[in-house]
Amino acid sequence: MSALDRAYRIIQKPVITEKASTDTMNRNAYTFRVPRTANKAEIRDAVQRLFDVKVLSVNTLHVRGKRRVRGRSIGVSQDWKKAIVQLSPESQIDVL
Amino acid sequence: MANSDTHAHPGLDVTVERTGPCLATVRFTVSKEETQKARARGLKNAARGTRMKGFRPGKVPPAFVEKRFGEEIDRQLVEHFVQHAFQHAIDDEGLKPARSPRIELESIEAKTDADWGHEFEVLLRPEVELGQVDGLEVESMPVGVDDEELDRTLSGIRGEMSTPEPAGDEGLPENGMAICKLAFLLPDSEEPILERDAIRLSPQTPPLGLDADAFKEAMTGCKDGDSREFELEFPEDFPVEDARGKKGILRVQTDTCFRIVPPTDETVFAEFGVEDEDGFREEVRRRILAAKQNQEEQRIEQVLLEKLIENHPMELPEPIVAEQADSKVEEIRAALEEQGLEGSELEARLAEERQVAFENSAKAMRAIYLMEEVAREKKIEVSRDDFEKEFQAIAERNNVGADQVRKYYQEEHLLQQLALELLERKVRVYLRENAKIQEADSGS
Repeated sequence: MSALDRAYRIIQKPVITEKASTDTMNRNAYTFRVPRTANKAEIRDAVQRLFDVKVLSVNTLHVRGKRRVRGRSIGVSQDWKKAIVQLSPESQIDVL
Repeated sequence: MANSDTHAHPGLDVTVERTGPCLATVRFTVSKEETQKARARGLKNAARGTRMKGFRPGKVPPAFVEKRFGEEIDRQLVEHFVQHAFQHAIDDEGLKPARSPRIELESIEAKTDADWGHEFEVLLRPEVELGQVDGLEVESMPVGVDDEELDRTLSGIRGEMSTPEPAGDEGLPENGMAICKLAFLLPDSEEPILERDAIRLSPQTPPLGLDADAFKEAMTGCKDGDSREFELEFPEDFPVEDARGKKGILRVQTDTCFRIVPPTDETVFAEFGVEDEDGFREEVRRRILAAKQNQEEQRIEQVLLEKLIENHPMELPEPIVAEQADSKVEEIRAALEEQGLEGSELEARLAEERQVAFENSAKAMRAIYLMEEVAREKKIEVSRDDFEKEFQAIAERNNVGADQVRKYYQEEHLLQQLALELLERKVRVYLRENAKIQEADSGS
């Protein structure tokens, strides 16, 4: 698997919410959904490779799956990993 | 985006140049500040109504809204300024458009980094200066019903009210009618080249190409199932091509023969609401006279309208006339193609029709503009009452309720068309009622 393929597997999709966009505006930080096994170094490398930007810092957190009720059955959505990547001021990503 | 008549755009500059008798060019420029303001307002409005997953209602960042709706807002912006410019040209420059301008909005770009603008052409209504409208002179033709015409009509009415009854053993009378089967044969052949079923024939009306007397003589007295043969020459438009121009035989086999039973006097009198023959004659005479008078009034109105058109030459918005003529020609093309005309013959015929259609469209448009001007000048209006009367009349003619007619006209958006027709009718009546009508000499 090439480095670019690995990068695509790591950066699954951007998280576009009110909080994430505020974070982007305030401190040039972008939020992504990443595999639960991905570590900060891999995420930094993937973002830099995919978007040709300079990453200042990476913060990650696990998001617990939510309880889901569908009719009579009760389940839980999958846990996932969120990565908040702060870029250098001159870098920018077009997330939409 | 706000309605064009609720706000002003100080950065919008509109100039109008009259480039022809029925043509004007509208040019407008929009300052970049004005465009930026309008665009920001558009984005704000879009953001207010946008719902996006992950955001509270109305909290979607402008950058996201722009990404998603930017193109749409730019398109609306162009449309908005074009509408403003057009409205400005109408309100402030006094343009009277013949129709909305046709503008390709996609080709216009609303710039936010520089002033931008566009120009478009507007077809204008012709300037009509009304001359003489009242007191136009016209000759009326005498209207009357002579006894010969009355007798012919009475006989026609009785004929129309007649009912067919099986002729039975007496056979088909001279004025009867038979349902027949026709077979066309070539000489020395028993195999028909063409057959037709359920054809209505009368001894008095022979098929084309047959001797009338011989046909009458042969058919009179026929009974159900009888067969008669007639010699004929197949005409040039006969459906079987090979038989055209050749001699052949027409075999007529009667299926059912009918005698025509005239209505009783009582039935006729009851239908016309009279008591005797004299009353019937008078009633029919009155109806013929009324119809003829109506026809004469319409003729007078047409003559007056023609005079009005002749006395008011005017330039017309040519593209509209041409469009109407083209659409008429296309209708004619479809009809001619259905009749089997094609190739150069079709095109030659259409070229002739195009000229006629163009002249007719021009005349019709002159009439409309003139009548609208007369209506304006003489304060002739179509009232709600006029509409109601018309709905009632249409309902009676079609045997339905007036409400149904009203609903149909509303749903099909035909009210404006109807208003124009009613106005035209009222103007025609005005012209007639205010004309100098002289009776033509009985000798003319």
